[in-house]
Amino acid sequence: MKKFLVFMLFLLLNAANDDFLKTLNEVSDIATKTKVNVDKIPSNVEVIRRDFILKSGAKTLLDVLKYLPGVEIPLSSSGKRELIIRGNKSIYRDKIKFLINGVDVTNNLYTNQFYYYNFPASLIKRIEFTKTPDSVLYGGTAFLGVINIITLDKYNNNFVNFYVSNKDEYEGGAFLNMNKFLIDFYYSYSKPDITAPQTYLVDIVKKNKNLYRHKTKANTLEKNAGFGLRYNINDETSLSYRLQYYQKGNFFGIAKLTPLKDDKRVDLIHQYINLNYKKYLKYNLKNEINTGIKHYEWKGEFRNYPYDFNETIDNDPANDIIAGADVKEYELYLKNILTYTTEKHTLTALAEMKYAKPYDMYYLQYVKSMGNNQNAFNLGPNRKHLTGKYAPLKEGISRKLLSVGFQDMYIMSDDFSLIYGARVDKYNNFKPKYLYKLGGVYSFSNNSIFKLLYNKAYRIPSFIELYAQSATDFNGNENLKPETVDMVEGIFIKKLNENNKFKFVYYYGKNRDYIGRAYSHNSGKKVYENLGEYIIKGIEISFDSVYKNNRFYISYSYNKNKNNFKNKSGGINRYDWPGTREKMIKSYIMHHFSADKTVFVSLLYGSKIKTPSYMDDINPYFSLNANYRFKVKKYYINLGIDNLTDHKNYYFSDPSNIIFHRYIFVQEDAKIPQAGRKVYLNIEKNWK
Amino acid sequence: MKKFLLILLNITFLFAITDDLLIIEAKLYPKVIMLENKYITSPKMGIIYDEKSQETAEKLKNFLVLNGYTALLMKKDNIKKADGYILTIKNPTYSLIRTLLKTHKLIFGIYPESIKYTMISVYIGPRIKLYVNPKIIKKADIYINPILFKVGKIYEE
Repeated sequence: MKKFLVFMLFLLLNAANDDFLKTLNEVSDIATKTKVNVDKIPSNVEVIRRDFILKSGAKTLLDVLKYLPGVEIPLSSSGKRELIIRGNKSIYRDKIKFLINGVDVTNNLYTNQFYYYNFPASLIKRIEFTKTPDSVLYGGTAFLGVINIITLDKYNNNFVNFYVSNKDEYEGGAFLNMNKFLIDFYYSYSKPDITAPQTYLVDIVKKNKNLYRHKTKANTLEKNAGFGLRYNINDETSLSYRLQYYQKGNFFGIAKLTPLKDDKRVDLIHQYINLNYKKYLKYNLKNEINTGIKHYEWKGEFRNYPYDFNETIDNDPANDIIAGADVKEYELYLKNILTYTTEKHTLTALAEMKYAKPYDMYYLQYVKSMGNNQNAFNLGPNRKHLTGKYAPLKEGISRKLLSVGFQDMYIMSDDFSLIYGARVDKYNNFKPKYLYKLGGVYSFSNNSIFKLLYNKAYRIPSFIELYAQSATDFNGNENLKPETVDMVEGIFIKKLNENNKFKFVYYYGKNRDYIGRAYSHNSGKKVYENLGEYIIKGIEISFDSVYKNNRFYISYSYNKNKNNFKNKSGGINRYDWPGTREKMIKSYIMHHFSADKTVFVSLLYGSKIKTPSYMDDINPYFSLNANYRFKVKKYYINLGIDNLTDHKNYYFSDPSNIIFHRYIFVQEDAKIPQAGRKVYLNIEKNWK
Repeated sequence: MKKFLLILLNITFLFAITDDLLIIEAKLYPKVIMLENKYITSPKMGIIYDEKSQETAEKLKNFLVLNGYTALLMKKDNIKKADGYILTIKNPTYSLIRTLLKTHKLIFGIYPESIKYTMISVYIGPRIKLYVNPKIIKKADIYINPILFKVGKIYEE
């Protein structure tokens, strides 16, 4: 009997130990996921937490990301916001992996996600931005980095908010924390008036340039709406659904010719349902499964140019060539991650499969004034849906992926850790792709840390890059190879004391088989090709300091990327003039008068954009911004100004494609303006 | 001058603690108590605060309650009975520590650096560990499970 009792006690103690050790592993997992120990692990992740998001007065995700070193956020003339990371500008595609609560929302159609860029900052708990490629953990599109947006969870209060600005912007949103259900939703509308620059028509055969359209009043319409639902079925299982809707106008014209009237619209809808199941099989062995379905639709029209080029400022929009499409795709996926933890190792094994397919698509191309007369301009009279050889993509295509991989973090001591891993991805129509990573972090002392990271990543061409067959600017190439990048980063972190942190990053990468558009003299079209080698290199320096009730931050970034492409049209290699700012300085000061009263002042600077010698460079970017956050009774109020000095900031607008083998539309000085000074008010009510 | 610096640290560290770290502590600290005393299935945690740490203490209380534990907020000069105490004060007075030691209960700190005057805090390395201060534990004359020494990091002054 005594032996039996001792045995039972032993079992009980072991069970208690296991429960405790499981919790210890759980919290380590939380720390890694929430990036609490970000300085001590072999990765380069920038983490922006809710406290900063709220106090900076940010309205959208991009309003937050603009404070990160090496990140530039311009606007293209077609209205697409871009994320330029370390000087890498990829028109229409940002070559990053974009996750919402760990679910990949980058589409297969064009591997982009700009419909999420206006996601409300108020719904974000944390942003994790990895500027390092990481295909071992995240797969093919984690090419230049990974952005993971963590939305509010059970630890956050309910809230409802309303935002308004003098630029014709409105937004309303809410978050409801109802025990097992978490719900968020929002709607935003933005239509600032901006004067569009005058447009010239360049004849590259005769080598002359004529004014085509005068400066004109334009606006940049954007509407966003979203809905998110998470149902925690039990401690191990949750089901989530998210819908993101984005509508935009034609802005300054996809053909660089701003619409005079009857602006057209593009609608994008992305949705997913994800089932997450995680269970500790043993105290040190965790299994996590994610499975679900995603759906994406791009539907819209663009106003191009008058079919006969004879129109000037009294343009009749009925003569414009309208091009558009509707493309839908769905994706099914299953991902399993097994994590095994020992005293020295955190071993992750992963397996993933997915199937994606575009379906139900059509192309549009018509000229209203031509009525039923079908011809090369009025390809489908009266908005006829064109399919078959006119479909925007080759029909009957799909994408299948099978992946397996592993990663191990080997903690050799409290001061030295290694990370290594490998993965193989097998896509249909492509050879297996082998990816790997190796990195280390060494703490010289509690205050000095050095990291060295190497990652090999790749990006499989999107459906458009491979199979687009439209009559306009998007022409696929089925012979494209995946592009790869080998990136090395050295990171030095020095904590001068517990309130000051200095960080220095040097990066050098080789992007091989760079995928970009090249002008074909034979077809007169731009076709996607593997253009060659692209060198990515630069530095980022930042200093973060907390002193009394103030936080001060400043960063400097410099990139000197270089292409070795031989692509030229009109004697110019467009990739020599990427339209990016090489140097950027970002700084802010946050002063806390009390827990509920904060002033945030920021200053953003970007160096000039270099342009070819026959035109002026685009002036440096400068923006002084301020936000005052305070509490009145149960309401939090943000009152702020962006671009306080009303500095004339411009974005780069590259020339249009070559039309009829000889014409190009060019906006004056290849630039489009920013909206100018903005005054805003945001009111938020919180409750438990 | 030293006193001035201590006051300064007190203020600045208000910004150093993140909700994520508090969430970790709200999961971990009650489990340590349950490990020590298997008869306690839902420990009552005493959260000790002062004016500057009140907001942080309230957050920690919410996180503990969300995890199914009982949490009591206590001003530093009004210590009540609990199964364990979590100090949210960066630089507590010696008399407060002495009062807590007399309870013979575990004393936790929310800042990693709190280990100087508490029994247990968290050590943030590549992996999260418990930071254990044997000297303070000995002063309170209490027994702790040897596993804490095995998986934790020992604080050496």
